[in-house]
Amino acid sequence: MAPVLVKSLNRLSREGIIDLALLWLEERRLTTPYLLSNRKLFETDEEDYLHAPAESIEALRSIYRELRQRGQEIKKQEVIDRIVDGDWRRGLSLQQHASIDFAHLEQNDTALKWSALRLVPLGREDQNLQEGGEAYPSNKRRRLNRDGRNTSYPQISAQTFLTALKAEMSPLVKAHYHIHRMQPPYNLTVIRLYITPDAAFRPRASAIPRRAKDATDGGRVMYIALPDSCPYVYVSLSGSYGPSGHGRGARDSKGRTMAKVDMATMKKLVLEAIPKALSRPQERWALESTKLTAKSLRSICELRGNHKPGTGGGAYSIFTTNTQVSNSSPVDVQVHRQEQSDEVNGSVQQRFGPLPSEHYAPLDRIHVRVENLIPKDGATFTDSTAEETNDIGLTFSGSDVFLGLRKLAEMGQAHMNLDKTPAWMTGELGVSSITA
Amino acid sequence: MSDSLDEEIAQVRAEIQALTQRRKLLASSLLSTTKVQSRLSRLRDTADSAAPNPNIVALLETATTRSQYNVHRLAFGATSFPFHDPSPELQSKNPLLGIRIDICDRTGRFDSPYYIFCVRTGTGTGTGTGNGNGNRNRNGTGDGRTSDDDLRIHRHTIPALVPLQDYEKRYLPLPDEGYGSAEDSIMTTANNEGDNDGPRTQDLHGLVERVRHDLIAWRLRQEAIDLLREELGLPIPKAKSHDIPNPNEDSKSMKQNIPDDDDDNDDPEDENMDGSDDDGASHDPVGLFGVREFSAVSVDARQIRIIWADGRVARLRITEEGRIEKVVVIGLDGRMRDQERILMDGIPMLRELGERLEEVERHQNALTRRRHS
Repeated sequence: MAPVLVKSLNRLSREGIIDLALLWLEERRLTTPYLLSNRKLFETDEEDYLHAPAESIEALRSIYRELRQRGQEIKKQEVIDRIVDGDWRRGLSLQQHASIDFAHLEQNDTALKWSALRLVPLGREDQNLQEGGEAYPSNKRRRLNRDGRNTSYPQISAQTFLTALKAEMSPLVKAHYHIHRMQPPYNLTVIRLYITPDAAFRPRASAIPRRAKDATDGGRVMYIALPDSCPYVYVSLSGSYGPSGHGRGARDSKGRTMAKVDMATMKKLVLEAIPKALSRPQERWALESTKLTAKSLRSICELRGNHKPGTGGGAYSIFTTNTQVSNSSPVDVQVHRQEQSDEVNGSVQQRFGPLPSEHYAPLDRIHVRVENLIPKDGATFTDSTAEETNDIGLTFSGSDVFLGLRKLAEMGQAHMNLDKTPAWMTGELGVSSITA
Repeated sequence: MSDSLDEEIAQVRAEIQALTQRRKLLASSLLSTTKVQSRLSRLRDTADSAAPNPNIVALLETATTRSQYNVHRLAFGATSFPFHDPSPELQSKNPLLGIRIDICDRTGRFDSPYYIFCVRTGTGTGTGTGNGNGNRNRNGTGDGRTSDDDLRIHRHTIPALVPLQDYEKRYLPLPDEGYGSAEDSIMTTANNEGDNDGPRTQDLHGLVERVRHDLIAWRLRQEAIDLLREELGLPIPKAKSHDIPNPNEDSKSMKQNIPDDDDDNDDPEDENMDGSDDDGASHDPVGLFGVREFSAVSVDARQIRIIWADGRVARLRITEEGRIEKVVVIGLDGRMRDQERILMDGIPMLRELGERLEEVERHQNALTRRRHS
């Protein structure tokens, strides 16, 4: 069995793996394990007796339940071996691969790199173009949201979206689609696209991969997340190498290297398919960048989500937090007097906002482009990139960039002069790509 | 030993904090009572020369201003305040105009307030270049002058379901930035049918009114759903965030949108990872009229999903004003247009849904009786 599968399973916790296996064994799942009752003759011959097949699905279920109860005495590796070489020795279905990835995503907030995209109604842009080019107010102009019916975001269920997306993409590429609802902290519907390595319309469509692992190794995985009721879509199109994590060119049955998926084209294809799939007659959408890319899905949800806009910090974040109950009432009887420990901390607090904040969203990578080079920029950053050109690019990276800057500011005036710190440095904008 | 000491210290600290909190509360409630206020002010007026206690004066003043704020917030719902942005870029434009919108729910509690911050667009510090407040808006049409007093939204905490950007374009149009003038003026003239002001006027009140309207409509929809759920005797979900659609049920109710697909991809599309849904739902208590679940589909509460205990599913679409706009009921064997008709009859308002559901239940009972006989 493919080592890649072991690798992707290894990212999960032991309990996570057992839970997944139990999930696969539920009714109505398309994941038949290897059982005594369904093995073929030659499979019986080849059997290695290390993992004896179970009698029935129910028996297998109780085996895994027992594994779960026995706790730490069973190592994770043993469970993985059992799955890979035992109960699913014939291989895992694409659905199982997808569920592994989603289990990983649910446990690790920063498993993928997400970008937020904004949906803009295309009709209105057309109209702007028309009117810009020629003073000719067209009759086809969309009515602006006045009847209270049309919203500024598409109202479409994930299933309908998926059907439309499939219709858009299936002529061009073969893919496996999996839809998954993320649990409350996110409240997202995430669609996983697994794009198979061979394009549908290649002349040699009969290229059958030589080994089972080659069938899944070359594929790429992309994710599209649809938050409820807001004009945003999050995508993760970096195209990680499927369940594999590495992508040496897989070989087909005749030993030829199978073509790898052309990522640029694929990305373009998916990005073009998304707005089309969201559109309906009379209601067309286009995508637009929001300059936000982050690893943490939670940050993305906070900053471009369907509740109050969150913040990466900054002077205004005090307004997004409701720290006290009395704050949420318009009548505040109590006298709030903030005790500020000292001046530096006070001003840091003011600039960067209160810290244990509800809608706080850490960003892991910020790229700043400072145009018309400001001669002295904080004076503390050892930015070796600052050349004598007019523009400089700065990239901050780390697990939480703005928290780091805040810490730096807390160290005192010598490190960071708050009076000269621009607003983008406090995380106020909530974007990851800034032009100053 | 040291542990217990540390514990003790922590305890004492906590106690101190609690006590100071209490003292603050007492002091401020004492200060906000009219009796104390009048007394103190009398004291200040009469004994001004004798003992002008600056402490008392300051306290009194803060107390009065605070009570004034409170009254305003309670009475108007939308209030404004100045806000000083500490960042160096905006020093020249300080203070910013902060707008606070308070929205009350049916239990009398308030959401945490929503804020909008507006900044003046002008680069200068004073208003000397502008020609007075009265006529600055009227003549700004095409002459390329930017008025110092024009506003633009700087930051806000309005949820994304309010299309604030659109509203900003509509209610706070900026005088041209060079190229866009012709286009903008056409847009505004084309918009005139709905806008009550002429072109080019920055209508801040209109903006706030509109945003507040949207927020309140949203809140009312949520309230109506909660109220109906109470009426039906359904438990209140643990958190608001639990109102999530179960993909399987969704696909059932949205089936009319999905063309029967036989794609070349043999993909199992609708698996939801949490297998707990099915068995979890069956333990749920069934409310009145056989309704097992009644919840908003998404955050904006524009769609409602109803699931009956016998497996019927309905999806309602709600307009901004809380009218039921479209209903689809799907039973075990296809759409049930009779029941849809009952729900849609006349001018169906969301808050009257309870009676209609009762009628639907009668209809359903009649149907099953007929089937059995």
